[in-house]
Amino acid sequence: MALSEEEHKVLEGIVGPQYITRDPIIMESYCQVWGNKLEFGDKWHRPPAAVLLPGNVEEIQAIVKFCNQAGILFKPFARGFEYVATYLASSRGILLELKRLNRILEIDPKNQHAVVEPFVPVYQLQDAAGKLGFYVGKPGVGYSASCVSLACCHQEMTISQLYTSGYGRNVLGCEWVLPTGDILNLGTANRKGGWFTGDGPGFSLRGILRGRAGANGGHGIITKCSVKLYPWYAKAPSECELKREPGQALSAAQLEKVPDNYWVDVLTFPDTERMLQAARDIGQAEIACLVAPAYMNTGFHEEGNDEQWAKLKESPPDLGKFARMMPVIVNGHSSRELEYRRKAVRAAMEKWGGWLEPEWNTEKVKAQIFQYQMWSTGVPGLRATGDFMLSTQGADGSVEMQLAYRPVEFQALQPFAAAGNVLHPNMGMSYRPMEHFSLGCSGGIATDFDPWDPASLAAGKEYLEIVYDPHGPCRRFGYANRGAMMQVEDVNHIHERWGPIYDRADRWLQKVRNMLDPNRVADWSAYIPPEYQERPDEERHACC
Amino acid sequence: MALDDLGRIVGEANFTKNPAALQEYCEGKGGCVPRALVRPASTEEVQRIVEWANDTRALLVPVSSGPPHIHGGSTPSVEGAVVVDLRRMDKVIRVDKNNRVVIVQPGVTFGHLQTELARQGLSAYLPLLPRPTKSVLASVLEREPILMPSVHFDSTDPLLCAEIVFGTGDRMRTGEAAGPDTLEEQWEIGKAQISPFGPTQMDPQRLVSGAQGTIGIVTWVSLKCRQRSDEARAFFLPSEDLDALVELSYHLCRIRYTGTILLLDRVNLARMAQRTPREIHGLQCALPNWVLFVAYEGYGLLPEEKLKYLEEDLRESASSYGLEPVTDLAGLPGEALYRLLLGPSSQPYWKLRSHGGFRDVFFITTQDKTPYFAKRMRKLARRFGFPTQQLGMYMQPVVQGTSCHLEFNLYFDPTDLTGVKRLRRLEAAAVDRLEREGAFFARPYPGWAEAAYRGYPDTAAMQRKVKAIFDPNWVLNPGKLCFPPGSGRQD
Repeated sequence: MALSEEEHKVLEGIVGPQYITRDPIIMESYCQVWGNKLEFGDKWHRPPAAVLLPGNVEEIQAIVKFCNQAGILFKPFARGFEYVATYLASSRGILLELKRLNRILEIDPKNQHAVVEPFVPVYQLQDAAGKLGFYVGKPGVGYSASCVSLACCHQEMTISQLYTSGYGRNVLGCEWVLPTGDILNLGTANRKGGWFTGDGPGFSLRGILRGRAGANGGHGIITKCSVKLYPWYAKAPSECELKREPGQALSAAQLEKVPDNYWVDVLTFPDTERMLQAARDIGQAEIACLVAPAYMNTGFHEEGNDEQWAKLKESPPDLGKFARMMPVIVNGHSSRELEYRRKAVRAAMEKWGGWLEPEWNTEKVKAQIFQYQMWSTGVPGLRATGDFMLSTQGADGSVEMQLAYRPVEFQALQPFAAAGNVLHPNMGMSYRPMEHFSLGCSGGIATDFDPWDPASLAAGKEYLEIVYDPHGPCRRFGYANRGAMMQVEDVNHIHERWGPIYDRADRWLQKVRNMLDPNRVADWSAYIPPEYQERPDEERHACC
Repeated sequence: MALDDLGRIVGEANFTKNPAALQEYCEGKGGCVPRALVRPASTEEVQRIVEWANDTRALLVPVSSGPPHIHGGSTPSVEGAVVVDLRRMDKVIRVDKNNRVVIVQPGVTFGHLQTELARQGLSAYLPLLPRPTKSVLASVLEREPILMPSVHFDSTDPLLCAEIVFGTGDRMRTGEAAGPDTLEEQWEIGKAQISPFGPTQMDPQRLVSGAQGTIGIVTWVSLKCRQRSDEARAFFLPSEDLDALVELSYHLCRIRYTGTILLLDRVNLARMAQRTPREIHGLQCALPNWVLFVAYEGYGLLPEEKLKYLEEDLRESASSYGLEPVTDLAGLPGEALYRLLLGPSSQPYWKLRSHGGFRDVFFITTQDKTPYFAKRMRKLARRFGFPTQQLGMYMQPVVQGTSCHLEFNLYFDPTDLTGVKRLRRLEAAAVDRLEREGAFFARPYPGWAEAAYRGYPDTAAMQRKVKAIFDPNWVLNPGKLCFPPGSGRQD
């Protein structure tokens, strides 16, 4: 149901006529995102009734308060990479695109944090912070991701989390417009003394801000956030000279050598177990700024989409080896530190029977790895088909658990791979260690499929259904992120299905949601519904 | 249901109304005498006690540490409460050497834990010389700062997962530990309770961190620990210039210099290192005003090379701030002090050694504000006639140096009643004044809460709503944080 003329006028009065639209052509552009075919079976998902571009927190509060009065669903989004950013649970819903909130408000080099607005992408902050000797991290989805979304609302830095932490652990305070329109400042946000902590007084309300994943716009709007920064000993990205061969696309430009104060080794191991044991040794020794087990596979892609497609269809043999390879990057504030760390990495490699493949340890390859792993080049997997499938986005935990989980997910994938209905089946599971391995690591399979091939699309859906099934093989490995990053609750019912066997975590989350949003105006589609819908008994039985 | 029903839950031997036994629990700031004490031995018993409290609208005060109860977070703030003493639950449930994770119940102390971990070549992340009776679990939930800022990624560290009995009586396990299986079944598939996130889109363990038992009773936690090495180096960086030491501390935090980094004044260093008032006085007179203490171990890969490069780097870094690391200071070997920091304080507790009494005032700020607050506190002490030679200071960089725990310690003679009155006025004035000047009282214990929440009405309002979800009948530890006695109850 569209907005009434009167409602549209009120909203227009808040942001001004140039910052609101309901033009159907423009609305269509907000519902055409990768993943739609797999999630919704269509190229488009439900379009919003209007899109607004508020310019400040006061306008946001006014919009939200009006939504409460008029019963209009709202959802904010920043950079909008994924369908969870723009999908709405009702056609009587509006999107708040936050692109006018685009300022870095402060970088405090002494206290190692920056205060940013939601439209600031990682690249922008990385470049500004890099000039002051700081690093933000590498988001898996690419450098254009919003710092605020990553820290507070969605996922986080993925592969750089060994060094930069993530999943909400970098939040040092934020300004939060609640679904009622009231403002909640977490910790010392907006207080005298600076934005240096997000906890207290008393217990930490970061506990309701997010968990393994964020609320994906489902519990209000984060309008400012203080994020922790990490040491950086090289130039800022824009100050680095990137070179490309004549005739190559701009995006092919790359570093020619690893920057001073950094060292890259690409280690190869006889098997996954020894690779992960070495990863843990290096992590626990607190010497590396990146350890990326089986992460070679996402770093090497063809420049053109057609070439990439051809490469995928070939299923190149190198992929099996990539699954046993592990780029390691160390840094050093002094030459002594760099030298010690470099030698320590080699010691771990030798301990676990690893070696250096000359082909993958040339200066050029190392520079390419550095560029990709530290700065990100986005999600190359999207280029071949315009889509990819994140399977479960992992079970989180120890090396031992990852080794137990690996065959489970492979077995789930195997029938579809054997039938030729998923591409790239030999890519393997990749791992993302956290905080010197003191939080273990995440492991998951990123699988390519062809959304335009009905058999491949069906295989993708069936495969996801297996890993999303709480009575299936993944049951014991947790639902920490079982779709919580990418689920659409009215399609997947992830919380409804998994919550009952996970200490009723869904019920507590639902209570928090309903407390924050008594009038049920914040879009819950990628968070949790205010209540579960009545459904036929057989369907409910399948869920629970 | 009667009070005596509690005896049937935990066994009569673990339930008492004896006033003498109850007296221990009302020590501390303004504590009220409880009406009963119950000592559960399992999570199930804790659940039944909480359910009983909901049925009878009784008030529960969870306690994990032994006396003395110093800050008042676990002393009853209202008359008629029932103390739930968790010290019978004192098991180290599991030590996972490979993943460096330990699971402990509330009654485990640091001494107990360090003994267990040492058998596996591991060490806990400790706060500064905790008292021997201090519960590890309580220390972690209170967000007491650990001594190693480079691995203090988040304010909740080293907390990983927790088992919580909420104020409703419902049990929930957090992070990776949530799930359909028992802990033992989780271990079978390699789970180590190492991943703290969620589950899903909230982090319940953050809601019990800093909660002073007002949201739930935590029956075990999994914690990060670290490898231990006998090869260690320890250095004092003495100075009369506090600013220079703060700058060096900033630098070391920024480069993630591994190991222990903390800043002390001579008043505190003398109390930590010596035992008798005479010894303390002697050392205090011989020490410089300020000391940055830096120590590290040779754990990990290539230990000898690690120790060597770290020392050379420290010397080089220090010299750029006009400072020099020394291994002994006024006859005190740095390595001896470091060994002390690997466990709890010996008896008597170091803060009680010189005068028999102390009060703490601590808060979160940024390191650069340390010199200002140090001067401010001395000025306040002088104004209230408190001897500045009995005023100690400790600054601990936290969350990788993005902020710091700044603590002032007021040492006093508890038999000097005039002095005690003066001290109380000073403490109240200090909290009030320093909060107005930017000190963030993240852990608002009784007596501090009003000032701590003064500028945070939005936080208080939201915390009350959260409390209403997890403890809807307000049975848990009334009178703490922003939950005044009697408010919020449905009856």
